[in-house]
Amino acid sequence: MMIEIKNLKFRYEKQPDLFTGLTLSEKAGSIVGLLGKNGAGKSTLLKLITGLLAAPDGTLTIMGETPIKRHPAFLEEVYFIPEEYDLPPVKISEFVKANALFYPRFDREKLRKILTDFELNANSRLSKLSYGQRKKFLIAFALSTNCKLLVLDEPTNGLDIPSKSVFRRVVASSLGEDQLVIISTHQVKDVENLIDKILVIDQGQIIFSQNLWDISGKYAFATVPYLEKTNCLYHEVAPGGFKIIKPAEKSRTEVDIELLFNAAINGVKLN
Amino acid sequence: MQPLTELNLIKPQAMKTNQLFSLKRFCNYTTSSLILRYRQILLMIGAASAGLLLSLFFFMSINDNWNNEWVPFSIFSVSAASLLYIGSAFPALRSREKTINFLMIPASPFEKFLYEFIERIVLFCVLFPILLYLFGNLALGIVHEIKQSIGDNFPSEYLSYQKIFKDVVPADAVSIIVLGVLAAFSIAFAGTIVFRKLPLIKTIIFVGVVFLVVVGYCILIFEEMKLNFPWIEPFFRGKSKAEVFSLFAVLLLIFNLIILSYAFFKLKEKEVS
Repeated sequence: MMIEIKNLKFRYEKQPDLFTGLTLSEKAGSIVGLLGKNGAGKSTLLKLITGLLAAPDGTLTIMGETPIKRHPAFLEEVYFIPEEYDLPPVKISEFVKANALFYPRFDREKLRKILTDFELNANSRLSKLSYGQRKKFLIAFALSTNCKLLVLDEPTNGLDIPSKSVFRRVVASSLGEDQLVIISTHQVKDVENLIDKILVIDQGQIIFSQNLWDISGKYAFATVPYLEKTNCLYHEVAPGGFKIIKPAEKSRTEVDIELLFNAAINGVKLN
Repeated sequence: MQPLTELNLIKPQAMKTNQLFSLKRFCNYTTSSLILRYRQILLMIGAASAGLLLSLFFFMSINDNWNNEWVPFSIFSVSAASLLYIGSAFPALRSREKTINFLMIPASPFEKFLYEFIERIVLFCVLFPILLYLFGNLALGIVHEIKQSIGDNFPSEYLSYQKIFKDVVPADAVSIIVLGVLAAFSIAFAGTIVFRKLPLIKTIIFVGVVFLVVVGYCILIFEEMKLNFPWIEPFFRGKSKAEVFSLFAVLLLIFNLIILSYAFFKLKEKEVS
């Protein structure tokens, strides 16, 4: 397993418990969307996975390694883009020259292509770029490292609408079978058609964990003018009627991640 | 989705070896740091040079002669420059965002610690005396010429480290002085790891408070209670000055190692909430 977490307990000093026995395991080869309400612990979980925080209780193993040891061999295989970040006031080319040497499989050609897709110039100074442009550069750099584990915390924050679409395209096309991407986000629409697995975290636990393919095989998502009397597992009022989740019928429907998330945190048993 | 293969795991052999120190990784880390920071390092050298020149011009202009002033000026300038430079070590630990970048760089904590130690303490110890020698003698030459041209007598002598160590500093005390200065540097260096905001000020306050408590305690115990250092006396009885200095040098060396080890482990255990 790429990620193996068993019975993880965690709380910040003078705070109530955040994780109360969280268990999770993930293999390589997928793009996982980590969803949760504000304060559910998404960013904390990402920091625990990347070794920025120590897990006092429970088992936490990433690629067979304990992350908090921060061994260089581990760090060479993990790239983390935090929600708030700091970049040095140097040119993109200088940043790449200074940091690419740490990543054994760094792909400069891939970086060049993604920078072109994001309309970024390698001679631009990072301090002169907008927040969104800097984020696009970080995403491009992260993908070019070819690290086995990419952890992206709110990667689409600050991106304009065309860039969000480019983001989905470059992420989907840049990854190998030995890589795992975890994307934590509030903006589920931004990662629709990108993620292939959903994790929902709530009240210190992973309350939902399924592949989108499996979900679309089990459930149908639809908008109906009236609530059907039977078979509706969850519904929400929407323009033109109701958005509903019901057991799948013959054909698969596109998964409405936002509706699914709301159903999960409202206690609907969908697993 | 691919099944579990050894591709998903970091090779066990790689995990066992070289996780503490690798010369290649250390060179990579140094290269990376210099690419990102060479402008700041050059700026700091420029600022130190300008600061030295200006302060020398100031002190030389208010003195009638510059015969015995090199030692006090050296103490003043080394103290001020070292506190400012070493007290701003680990700039990446001053904010949460920078700390995340720093901790995620694929180099071991020891490599990061060693680089910072070399850049802040070793580089300072090598470079500052050179700057002081060059700009000190340059300033003296200029001031001397100016004073001569306006008819002022300005008795002075050029800076010579050989002369200072020969005439002013007792040979026995060199190791104590060097280790004592290194202890002050180590404390300032450790403070930059322990304190996130205003590390230099907090370190000075902390060390000051500890110093006052220790001195106060000693005065109270030994002076007021007339204990007359009973447990220290056997250590020094019948020992020469050189032997006592050597003993203090060993104690200072141990103190330095403790401070630096503490700083290293604090860095190793750093977390970002």
